[in-house]
Amino acid sequence: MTAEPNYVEMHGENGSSTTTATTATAAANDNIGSDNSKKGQISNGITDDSKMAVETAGAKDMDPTASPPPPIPHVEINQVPFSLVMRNLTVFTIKEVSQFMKTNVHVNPTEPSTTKKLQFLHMIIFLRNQYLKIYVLVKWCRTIKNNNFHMMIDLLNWFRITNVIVNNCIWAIKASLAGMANAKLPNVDLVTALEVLSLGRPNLPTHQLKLSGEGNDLYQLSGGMVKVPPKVVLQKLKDMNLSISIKIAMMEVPDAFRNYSFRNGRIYIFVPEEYEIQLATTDYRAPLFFVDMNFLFRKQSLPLDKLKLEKVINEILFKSVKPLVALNKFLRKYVLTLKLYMIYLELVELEESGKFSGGHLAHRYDSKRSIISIRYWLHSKMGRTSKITIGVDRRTENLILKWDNELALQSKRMPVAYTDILDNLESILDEIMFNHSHIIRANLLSKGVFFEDEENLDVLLFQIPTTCISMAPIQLKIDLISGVFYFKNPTPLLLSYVSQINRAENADELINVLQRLKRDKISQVLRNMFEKTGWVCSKVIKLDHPIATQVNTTEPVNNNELVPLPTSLLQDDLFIRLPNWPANWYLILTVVSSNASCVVEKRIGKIVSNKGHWKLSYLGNSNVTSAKLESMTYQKVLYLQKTILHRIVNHMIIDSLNQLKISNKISTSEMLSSLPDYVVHGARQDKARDSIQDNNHENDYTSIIILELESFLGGSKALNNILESSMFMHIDYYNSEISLFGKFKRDTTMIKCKCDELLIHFVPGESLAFYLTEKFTNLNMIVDYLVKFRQKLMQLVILTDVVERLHKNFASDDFKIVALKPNEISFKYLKNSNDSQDCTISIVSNEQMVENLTVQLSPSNPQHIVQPFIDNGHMDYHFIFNYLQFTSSLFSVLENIIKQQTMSGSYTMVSLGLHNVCEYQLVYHNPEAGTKITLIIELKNVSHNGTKKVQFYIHFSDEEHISTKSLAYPLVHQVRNQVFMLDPKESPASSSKNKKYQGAIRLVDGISCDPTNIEPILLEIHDILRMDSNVQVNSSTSTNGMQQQTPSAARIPTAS
Amino acid sequence: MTTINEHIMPPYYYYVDPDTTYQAQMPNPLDDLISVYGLQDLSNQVARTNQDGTRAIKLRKSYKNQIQDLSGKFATIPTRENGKGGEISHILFQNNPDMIPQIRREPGMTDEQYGAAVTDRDRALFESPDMNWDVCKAVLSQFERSYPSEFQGQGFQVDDLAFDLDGTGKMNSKKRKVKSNGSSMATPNSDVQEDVKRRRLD
Repeated sequence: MTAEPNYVEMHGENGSSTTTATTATAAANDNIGSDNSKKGQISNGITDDSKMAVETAGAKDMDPTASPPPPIPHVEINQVPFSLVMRNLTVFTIKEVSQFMKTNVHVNPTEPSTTKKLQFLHMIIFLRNQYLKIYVLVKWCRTIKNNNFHMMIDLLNWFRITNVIVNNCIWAIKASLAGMANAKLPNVDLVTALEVLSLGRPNLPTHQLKLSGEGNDLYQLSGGMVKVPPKVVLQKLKDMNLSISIKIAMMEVPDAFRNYSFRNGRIYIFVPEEYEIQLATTDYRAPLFFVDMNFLFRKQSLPLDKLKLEKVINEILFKSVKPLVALNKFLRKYVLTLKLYMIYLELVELEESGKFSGGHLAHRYDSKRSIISIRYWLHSKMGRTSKITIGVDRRTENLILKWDNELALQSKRMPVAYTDILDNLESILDEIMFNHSHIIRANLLSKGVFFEDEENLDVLLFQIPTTCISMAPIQLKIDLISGVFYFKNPTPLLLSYVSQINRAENADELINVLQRLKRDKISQVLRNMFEKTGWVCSKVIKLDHPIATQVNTTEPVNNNELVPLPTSLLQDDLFIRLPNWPANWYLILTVVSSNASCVVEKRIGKIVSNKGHWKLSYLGNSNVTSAKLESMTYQKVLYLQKTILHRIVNHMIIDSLNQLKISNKISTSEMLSSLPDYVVHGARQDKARDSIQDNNHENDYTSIIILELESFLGGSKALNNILESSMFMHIDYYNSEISLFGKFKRDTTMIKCKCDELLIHFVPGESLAFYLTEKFTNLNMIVDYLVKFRQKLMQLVILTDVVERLHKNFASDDFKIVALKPNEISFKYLKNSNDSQDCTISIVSNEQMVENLTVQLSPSNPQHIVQPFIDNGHMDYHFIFNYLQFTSSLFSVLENIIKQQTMSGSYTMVSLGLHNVCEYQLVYHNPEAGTKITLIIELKNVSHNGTKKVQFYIHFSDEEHISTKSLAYPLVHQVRNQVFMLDPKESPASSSKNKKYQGAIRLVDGISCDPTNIEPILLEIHDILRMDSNVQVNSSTSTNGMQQQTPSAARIPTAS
Repeated sequence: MTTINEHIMPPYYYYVDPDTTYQAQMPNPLDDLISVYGLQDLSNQVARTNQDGTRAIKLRKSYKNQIQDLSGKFATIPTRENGKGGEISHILFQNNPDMIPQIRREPGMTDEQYGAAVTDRDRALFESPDMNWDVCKAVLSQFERSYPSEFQGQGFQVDDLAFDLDGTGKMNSKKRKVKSNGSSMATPNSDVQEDVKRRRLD
């Protein structure tokens, strides 16, 4: 690397000349930028002076092509010759290398040579790079030189120096300011100071010069200044008058400026009601300039920035081709804007601290479009739509206030545009609001709901009822400032409606609100009436839908959507009850009020709250009474109190019936005639003490409800063919009696049985009609009575059923029901029974059906012996009844036989044995003779001529064979021959007897017969067998003996 | 009018002495000095933004170009960014008399004598005791023969030496020289306007 022959200067401070170059570039750019901005300012032209200054400066300096530019001092500080740099680098390099060699000459065995080599290499590269950089730097410097870049650097440096100078100047001024702190200059007039500095004279508007020529010394002032002589002053002013008049004469003067005069060296232009402006000029060639200005439309001084105004006006005068026209245009706009601003100030004051404070008035000041829009009556819905706009009228170019209200426009009597706004704003607003209130009032009056108060025209009168029959007006007024409605002498109810009234957006809504008020007032009146007479009004009940009234029933209600009532009709439902009424039952008063009249409908309903949600569970829509409000009197309310209870009960019963799903219909008075007499007059028919006068209250105190039998019994058809399908429920409130009437379809045996526990009474004179009756104490329990009745009826069904069957089974004259209880029947069926009852049946039943019958035979009943079989046999009671009836004759004869034998005192003992219910044995046992004869009586099913019949089958036991040698044989033989043969010729004497055994059939070893023949047959056999066989042995067995016995045998049946 | 002015105008107001004259600053800072001194072209080249206000292309770093004509193969240009260049040592720009023994020109010394003294002083730098070549020899002899992977991982690459071991660097540099010969020292008005993309201050 070799040193450059050129002597290059370097910036040692920065180290790298690259850096210097970029900095210079930046500085140059900055310079360009600042220059441009300066140019922009000049073209904008703020003041005459600055422009002038620039022009002169430009004229003086600018001619770069003509003369060479002034030299710029070359940057010389902090520069090192390149030779020194190169020398330094060389020395530095050699020293470094030498140092490295010296420190590494001694070998350190622990240190590997690699580290040393690495250090050496690093050093070499470092040093090489130092040379490299210097080399590059040198080349760069050459480039810079070639490109005139050093000039750029010098220029930057020059800028820097200039900047420092200006800064120093500013600091110096600041220092002098600080130094003047004690001088008695209250306000440092830097502006004037700079004016003096730049113009050589002050440019003060007042020209604080003492122009007066008075004083001792005419021309000398203290301080060596010369006074101005008065003549000179006067002359100057005259000159100025002249020059300005010449100038004005040459100018185009706008019409607005026609009113002017020349005085005091200026022109006074007078624009009425707006301003007076004074202009002057120094020379007819010079432009006009601003002297002073006053605004005429406002007494008070305005916070006006005259200095700024002066600048702007001067600029207009200087720049414009037609200065006065431009000035007029400008001032016109300026005055309008100023006026608008003052109106704005006035508005702000009115809103914040004046009449309309409290947010009744709001405005928007759009200074760009020069429009103020005002909204008033912000709290009034109805008046809120109106707007007031203040702006510049396009036609006259004057400020105008417009009231944007269609009705006011239509009326044509009310002013909607005002021009003289300033200082009048409050009264204009007052007038507008007054007019607006009148519009609203007129609008409301036109609806025909209100009346005018002749004494006080601001007031609207609205009639609301104070009682059912009297009305009183309420007074509605509009507050002029806030635009809201208010009542005079308000009540709490009225107060609660004031806000609603004020929410109304138009007259119809308002009237609607008032109608609601009226309706609520009516409700209040009614509620009051009822509460005073001991009723209780529920305030908590709220239904989802109002009750469909007769007035609006034509309105279709679709999809649960509430179709609003026509606005003229308003409805309110009152839920009223007496304290002693059944729970959840209410008298529902539906108040339907219209503009003109009001109707009150009375219904009875049941309202149940389910999880806080009120639901109408029952509504009596029949028998709705509707009355005019005027007809509601205390007498009626009191009368209602007395008479309404049974209606409630009716409804309650109907509701209960509905809940039980029992078809029902309440009888109306027209129906009464078609009802059976006993039903109409009820159970009292058989109560002789009832006097005729009670009949007057009949309709009020009784009610008759028709029930359908099948649904009453809960769908059971059990009684369908027993009772008529309609039943009548008769409720006698006077006597607190509830009766249920029914009628048998046909005469049944049941009718003849009296059962007190069933509470069933038969209507005298009506063989088939019966009734159940109960005294009621609590109406809430009415359902219980129904349930009880139903239970009784069911029992009646069961009893009837059982009794019918008994009658069928024991179809004989001996059958007789002895006692009838709801679940127990005692009866007799035996022929010659002396018992009080032969059998008792206990009925085990569920609600509708006979589940089981327990048959209990009387202990003295001959059939009592089968009781265990009945108890254990799980037999069908049909079978049991048939069996009992079938075997009744058998058992009575058996009982007779045993009784006879035990009483006779013979050796032969007779015992009765039962194998099962259809096989019995009669054992004749003679312990003396050692004989035992077993006679077996069996019940057998026999097919005879195609019909099945049960027959007795009497024969001797097969098991014990009685040999011919046995003592008993003759007896057996005799039975076989005499009884079993059924041969009339065998014994002519008994032929008549044999005839009696009709239907008895002779079998191989026995006889078959039916119940009618069982008694004589068995008696005949017994006659034979009861003979003691040993006695027979002792005497000879002869047919004679037998014959002797016959009369006695024949005697027995006659004895019984 | 001027006569009246002379009558009524006081000599001067306030503290401003009309006799004192102030020279306007030369050159006038309100002028476009860039054009006055003919620096528009240059300023256009180095401007940060184009005339339409868009961002100008950054000045190209021509360091690589500048060292292209050196013998040596700079695979990586040693720059501050890659850590291989480093700053120029500050010591080079200091006029430090202690760096080197000063030669005083005694009165009566002839030019030849002074020149010889300076030469002697400079030569002394390369001779004992400042520079002991035996020591250098000894140290260098201690360095054993290196093998390629010796300095791996110790922050040194052979490329950093920029030795043109295979001779390719020369070729490249020659080629480049041919190509960039003219533009290397080009005057600003050569072809800057066309070469917008690769703007540089050549």
